[in-house]
Formats: sequence, C-alpha cells, structure tokens
Amino acid sequence: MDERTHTGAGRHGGGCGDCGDEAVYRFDAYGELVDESVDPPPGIGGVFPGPHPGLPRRPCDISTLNGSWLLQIVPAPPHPGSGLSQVRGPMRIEVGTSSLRASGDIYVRRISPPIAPVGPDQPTPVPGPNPVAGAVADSQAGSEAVLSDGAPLVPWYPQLPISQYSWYFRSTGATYAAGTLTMPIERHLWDQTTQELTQPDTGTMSFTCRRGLLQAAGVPVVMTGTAQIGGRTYRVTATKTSNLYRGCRIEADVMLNRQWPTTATLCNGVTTAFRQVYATAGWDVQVTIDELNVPEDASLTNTELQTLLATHRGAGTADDWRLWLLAGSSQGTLFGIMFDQDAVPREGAVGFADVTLGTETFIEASARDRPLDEVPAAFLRTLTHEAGHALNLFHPKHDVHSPPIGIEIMNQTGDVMSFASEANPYPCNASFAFAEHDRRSLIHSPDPQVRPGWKPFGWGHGSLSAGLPLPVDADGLITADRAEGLRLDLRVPADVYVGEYVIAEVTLTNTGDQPREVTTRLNLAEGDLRLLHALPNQEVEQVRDVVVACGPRPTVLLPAGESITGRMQILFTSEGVTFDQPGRHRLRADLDVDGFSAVTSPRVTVQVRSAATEDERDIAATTLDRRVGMALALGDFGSDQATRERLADVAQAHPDHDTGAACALVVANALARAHVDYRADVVRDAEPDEAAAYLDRVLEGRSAEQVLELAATVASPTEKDAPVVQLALDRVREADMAEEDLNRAEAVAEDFVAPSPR
Amino acid sequence: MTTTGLRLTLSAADRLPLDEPLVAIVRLVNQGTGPVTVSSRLNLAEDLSVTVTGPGRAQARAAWPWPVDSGLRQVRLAPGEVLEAGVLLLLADGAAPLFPVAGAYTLVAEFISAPGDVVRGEPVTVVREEPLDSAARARMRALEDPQAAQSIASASVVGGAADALTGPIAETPTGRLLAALATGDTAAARDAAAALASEAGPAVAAATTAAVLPPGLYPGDERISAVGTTLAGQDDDGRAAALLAERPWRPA
Repeated sequence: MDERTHTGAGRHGGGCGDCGDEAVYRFDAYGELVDESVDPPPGIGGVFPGPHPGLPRRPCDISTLNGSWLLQIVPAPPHPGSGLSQVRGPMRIEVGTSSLRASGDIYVRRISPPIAPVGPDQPTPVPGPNPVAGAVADSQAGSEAVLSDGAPLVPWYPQLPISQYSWYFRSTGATYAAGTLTMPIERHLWDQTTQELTQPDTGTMSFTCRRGLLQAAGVPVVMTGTAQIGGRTYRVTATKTSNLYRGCRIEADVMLNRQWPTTATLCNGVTTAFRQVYATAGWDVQVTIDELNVPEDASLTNTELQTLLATHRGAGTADDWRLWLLAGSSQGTLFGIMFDQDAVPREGAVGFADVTLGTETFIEASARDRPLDEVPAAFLRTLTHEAGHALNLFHPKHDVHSPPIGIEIMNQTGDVMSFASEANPYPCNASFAFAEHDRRSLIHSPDPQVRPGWKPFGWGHGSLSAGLPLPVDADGLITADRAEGLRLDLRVPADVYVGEYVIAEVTLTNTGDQPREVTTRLNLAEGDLRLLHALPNQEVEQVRDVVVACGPRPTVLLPAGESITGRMQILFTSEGVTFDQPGRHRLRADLDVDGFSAVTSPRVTVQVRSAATEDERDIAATTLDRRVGMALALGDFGSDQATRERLADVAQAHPDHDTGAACALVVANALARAHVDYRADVVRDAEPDEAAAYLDRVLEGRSAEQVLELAATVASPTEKDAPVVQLALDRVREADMAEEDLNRAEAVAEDFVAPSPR
Repeated sequence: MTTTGLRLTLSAADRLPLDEPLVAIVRLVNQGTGPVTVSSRLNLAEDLSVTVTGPGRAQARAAWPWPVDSGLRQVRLAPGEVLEAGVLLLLADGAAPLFPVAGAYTLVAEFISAPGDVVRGEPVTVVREEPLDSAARARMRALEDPQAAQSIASASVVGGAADALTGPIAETPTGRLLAALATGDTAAARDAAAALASEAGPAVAAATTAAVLPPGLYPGDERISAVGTTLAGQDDDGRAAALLAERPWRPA
C-alpha cells in the first residue's frame, strides 16, 4: 500500500496500519487536505524509544485520531490557584478521506479547598464512562462507519454538567506529521449571564500520538502535548473514548396498537435502523423501547405531548444526553413534530403513526394510503428527522445557512416527495443519511446547540459572535463553581419607565437538607452580589452599587428550607441610570456564597418604556439627573442644596408615586442627621422636624411593609444605622397598622441590618 | 429561481400596538397565462417564511415554534386564481417575541412554490406602537409570555397560559378569536369570529383562524368548521371559505 496516500478513516487502511504513519498532512481552515508529502521534516518521524528502553513506539496512523476524546488541560508550569480548577471536556477529531476537523467543548469546575493537592502531574478527576451503546461493533454502525483503532472496548462520551460549561473551540487548520497533530484553534467563550458564546480568541493545540508495535485490544490511546490559550501555556492530555464522535440515549415509547420501526427494509433491499442512520453522522445512539402501551389517544395536542414527555420518560442522570421519542397517534395531517419548546427544550419529539400516506403515483404502490407506521421506512425517516430537530437541526429550507433542499433526513417529507416520481417513488427515493451540512453540525457544533435540554430550537444557526479577542486563561469566564443545594431568586417589577425608582429583591434559599453557612451581604455594595444586566442591544453590564465596601464576610447559618432576603434600589447604580434604554432588559443575580461557590438566579425580564404620562415625565426629568440619582443611591444629598430642592419638589408633587416617596425618604434620611462636608467646610445641621414631615407624607396610602421597603432601599447598605429605617419603623409602629403588616415591616428592617433566615 | 407568473404579496396593518397579535394575509397569485401546480403549504411550518427587520436592523424570522414533518400538498392555480393564507406574526425562532420593541418593522415574505422555485414578496412596513395604558401593557406582557404565545400558535393551551388567554389576550378582537381557538371553545370561537368579521370582514376572521390552524394540516378540525359556518352568511365571494380550505379562489 502506498503510504503517501492518506485514505482517512472512512477508507480504513490509510497509512500502514500498525506500522505507524510517517507522512505529513496539512489541512486548511475548512479542514480540507491541502498538502501531503512522504518525507517527514528532518528530525521527526521514524521509530522512537518508548517510555521503557527496548519498547519502540511509532507514530499513530492518522486514522487513529478519528473519534471522540476526553481532553484535559492543566497549566504548564502551574500558576497560583491552578490546582483549584478542573479544565476538561470532549474533543472530536473527524478524519475524513481528505479532511481533518477538530472541535471541542470545555467545562471548568472549581474545587473548593480544603482538598488534597492536585498538582499538574496528577490526573484530574474525569467523568466516568457512560457507555451509550455498550461495545459498539463498528461494522454495525452504518455504511459510513468509522473504522479505526485506539478506542476502548466500551465506547463512551464525555458529558459534563451544563453549569460548568466554559468554552468551545474548533480547528482552523491542522498538520499531522510523524505522530504530532498541530492545530490552530478558534475559541469562543461562554457567557454564563447571557448563555451565549462570545468573545472569540485564538490559540494552538499540539498532540503527540505514539504507540507500541504491539497493542492490547481496547486500551485507549492517550495523546499528550501542549496548548497556547489566552497567552498561557498548558499541558494537554487526550484520551480516546470512542471511534464515533457523540452519543445520546434514546428512550422510545409507543402508543397502544402502534408500531415502532425497529428496522426498515429499503427499496434496494438494504435493512437499516435508527442507530445506523445516526451512525452515518458519527453519532452513537442506543434506542431503548421502553413502553409499548402508552394509552390510546386518537389526537395529540402539543400540551398532551408535553405531559406525556413529563410522565412517561424514565429517570436519567443529570449529565447524560438523552432524548424521548414517541410513536404516537396523530395531530392533523402532521407526520411528526418536535414539540418540546419549554424552559428545558428539545427533549422530546413524536412521529405520528396514524397519518396516512397519499394515493399519488409518486408514493410507492404498497405504501399508498397506508398509515405511517405500516410503512417502516417512511416512519423511520420521520422519527430520525424529528430526533434531528431535537439536536437542533433545521429543515434546509428554514436554515439560515441555506443548504440545498434535497432528499436527506432533515428535509420535510413533503420536500422529499417533491423529488419522487412514479419510477422512483417515496420512500424509495429518500436518503437515509444526513446532508453534509447537518452531519457537520451534529459532529462539530457546540454542546449548547446540540445537547437536548440546553439552548432552544433555533439557536446556533447564525454566526457565532464577533468582537475583539481578549486573552482569557483556560478557566474561561468561570470564576466560581455553581453552588449546589442553594437557590437564588431575583424579583424586580416587570414593567418600569425610564427614571422610575426600582426595587430589586434577592432571596437565597437553602434547598438542600443540611444547614449552610452563607454570606449575609445580599446587597450590591459589599462585593458578594452583582446583577448581570443584558441591555436591549445585548450588551452585558455588571451592576453594583455606587459605593463598594470592603471587609470580612459576615455569614449566617441558613437552615435547610429557609431563606434570607435582601432588597436594593437599582434606579441608579454603578451603571448610572440602570434602565436608561427603553426595551427588554434581562437581569440575573449572581451571589458569591462563601468565596468558593456561587449561585445565579434565573433570568428575569424588565420591560422598560419611556415615561408616558405627564407625572412620569415630570418625575423622570428630575430623577435622570445624575446628582439626583446619586442622592437616591446614597440615601443622602450631602451638602448639595440644589439636589435637595429637586428631591423635595418630586416628593411634594408626586407623593402617590413610589419614586416621589423615595425622594421624600432620601430627604428625611438626610435631614435626620447632621452632615459635614470637610472639603467645602460646610456643616449641615439635622432638621428632625422636617425629616418627620417628609416621613409622614410617605406613610399616606402605603402599608407598613411598603414604607419599610422604600426606607430600607434608599438607605445605603453600607450604613446599617441609616436613620430613615429606624424612623420609618417607629412611625409605622405608632400608626394604626395591621399586626401582620407590621411584622412584615419589621422583617424588612431586620433584613436591612442583617438578613435573617426565615 | 422563480416560477414565471407567480406573485406573492403580504398584507398587514400599517400600524398596530404591541398588545395586539399581528395576523397578516399572504396571497399567491398566478398572473401567468397558463395553469401552474404549486405547493399549497402556504404557512410558516412548511413552505412560507417571513423575515422581519426591526429597529436597529435586527433581523428575525417569523416562525411556528415547533418544527414539523409533513407530506406534500399541491394545488393547481389557474390564471388569475389566488391561494391565500393567514400568517401569525408573533414569534421568532426559538419562540422569542418577533416584535420585541416598538418601532417600524420591514416584513418580507418568501414562499417555496416548488423545490428550487422561490417567490419573494415586496417589503411591507408595519409600525408596532408602544401600548400607553396599563391595561394595554398587561396585554402586551401576556402576549410575550412564551406559554401564552405558544398556546396561540398551537391553538392549544400550553402550561399555565389559560388565565392569560381568557383574560388580557381576549380583550382585543383578534386576540379573542385566537384565545378561543386555543382553549378549544367552539362556541366562543364562533362568537369571536363573528365579532371580528363584523369589524374587519370575514376574510380577516378566516385568515386569523387559518393562521393557527392551517387547513391543510388540520382538515376537519371542528374549530375550522365552526368558524366557517359562522362566516358563511357574510362570505359573499367565497374568499373566507377558500382561506379555511387551503383552496384556490378567484377574485372578482
């Protein structure tokens, strides 16, 4: 065999098998072979001594690279704190007949000390094998089966927690010479706030693959090498996990009296099955028929399908990729639908067994007017098609990349029928393989796009992102592990106008079964809490207070099932006026719980509009002034008499509006105490009677709880003794307020000083 | 490539506040001299797409939230005949709001009349206006709720959307009909269709129904039948009936 001719994984036997591969291959940014030479560069190639004298090791055949790998990354040399991270994830190397493409998804886990030292020479813990299909006999994997060696007997696929996702990379070229794979990469960082890929940069990875002349079957190949990422050097280790690229468990349930197409014999006599179809795209799927007696329901709405998904899908582990498919009855004349578009999307799809194929001559004679499940090839096509949607594949005609309409799996059946004729009728004319565009997406698209239950259907079919690359180390944007057993909730008004006083409420709940020691600094001023703010234009800001305090972290033991709550104003923050743009704003709260772990709230949406009424415009004209905003953030106007007057004007003109009340409370807080401006040498005396008068205005028409919420949020969190909170509490106690209301108000006042578990 | 003689138009309100669901009418006209066989799958789930460019040039594609598989349906359009359909312009890919903020939007419809044959409509501008009172804002928020929007699009109640459907969404004539179709209340759908027809004409009521229950995908659906029966008395030219049957129609 001519060693110069690389025949790739699809034509097994490239190179010379066990004797190694000494040719040089270069691949361009699209992964296509551009250069191949027989002579390795001087100084490389040939037989290398192995780790033990006398055991020669030779470069791996290039086909050995093909498949799924577990990639582990550690700093070289280690930098301070590097042992506190595990940086690892799946890497896919696709070696075709004249191409090589690689991609990967990196997940980062921060390790909380104390912990046994994890030095660079120790392997980091890795996800355990998750054999999707047991030992896959490659000969069963389909006509395009990948044949290569170096994979374990039981293939598995690194599948890691979504919360640890950090970055995606793909090769932009590659060279394989004398057992060394070198590839420049393009990296896309994952922003946990927006749940989008962002901030691209570039780097390189280099792996050396050598094997002894004698190989034990099933011993996975390990490649080692270096990577340049974010301006740092890392050591990389890649352990082969499979000859295929990705895996997914599929649970199939079948409605009573319907048939699942376990196999389908095509018109050319070839028998195929769900698993074979996906193997053509390098996917290892195991279909388990779980139920054959899903109760009869002649017509299924999407809601009913969602309920069936919730009630019939079996249990699985959190990190496994899995998908639920139903052979159901009907929904109109649909053949199938990927119905799962809820908060955890793309986990279920259905094929409709009862819908009948037409009677047209372009339908194969024996299939005419037959229910879909009586035509196994047609039903199998629809079910693999719907599963493709669950893996975020589009109909070519709806795909923003505009691949051609054709006869492959992801075309709507109607489109495939358009190409059928009496001589070549449907389903005979259908291809039971994925078009190259879809195949590449299945193999190389980022995990968030492909994994069921992650990004919604429709994500990932535009350009990834743009922007200036910034050096970021291998931890990506991850700064802390996601805390388990804690839930953070953020509450803000759904609808505000520009210039309105806005209160945010953050609640931390212990959802575990053990008490947890947690920070009590549930405010934006003391460093533990921040709001992650996505503006209507998709820019992301971090929101903190206008002042930032430092000091030891006060903590509280939060019993299981109990919560602590903090409240804060967010009209004026480190961003200036937080909501100064009309449109849809999205917020998340992110809390550093204990220095090692963090918890993030679900996203909430605030619809911001322009001030519409005369009152609103009048209020906004004042509160959008920077000095007024600063006074509202600090709870005091200092020695700025002009600002005092502006606050007083709003307080007097708009006492019914909470923004007017907040202005009144700022004045009350300021006047309740003296103030010295040392720089200007100005002393402001306390005016307690005036302060009380402003406070009285706020009480009118408000519950005790509302008054305290306003008072506790105009006071700066760094001033636990701000007079307005105690004054407000005293006044509501004197007033004729309901006891329950008073109790809630007292809780708000307590929380201002130190959040208490409840 | 475009089949000669086919013309696609999209008709929508010039201005509409964000608290009202926008239903447009697409029309495929055979302006040629001979009959032509075309796909009759004139809906967002199959062969129709509508691209929406909004303030700041942000572009989105109107979508039916769930990808479906379906068979081939074709219709023969004689010269002068039209195929019409309603199209719900509420959701973008991924079930996000199609019109997230107030402003002027440009809409362009495209229809794949046969593989390789794409008919493109002229751009149409629709100004989506900011709702000004609190009731209108509540309606807008209800429409933005993913479950409520998916309920409207699927003509079924998704999750906990029932209150929004029978509450704020039903306060506008179009919303009322869409809500009734979603909740499966045929009597309410009849009343709502009659009310919308008296305000905007039977074709608009039929298009609104067909927008969420494409007749070729849901033939024989009792809600389509109920609306059809209600509109029959006012449907002098048969346009509404054609809309509710995915059937060609010849304008006077």
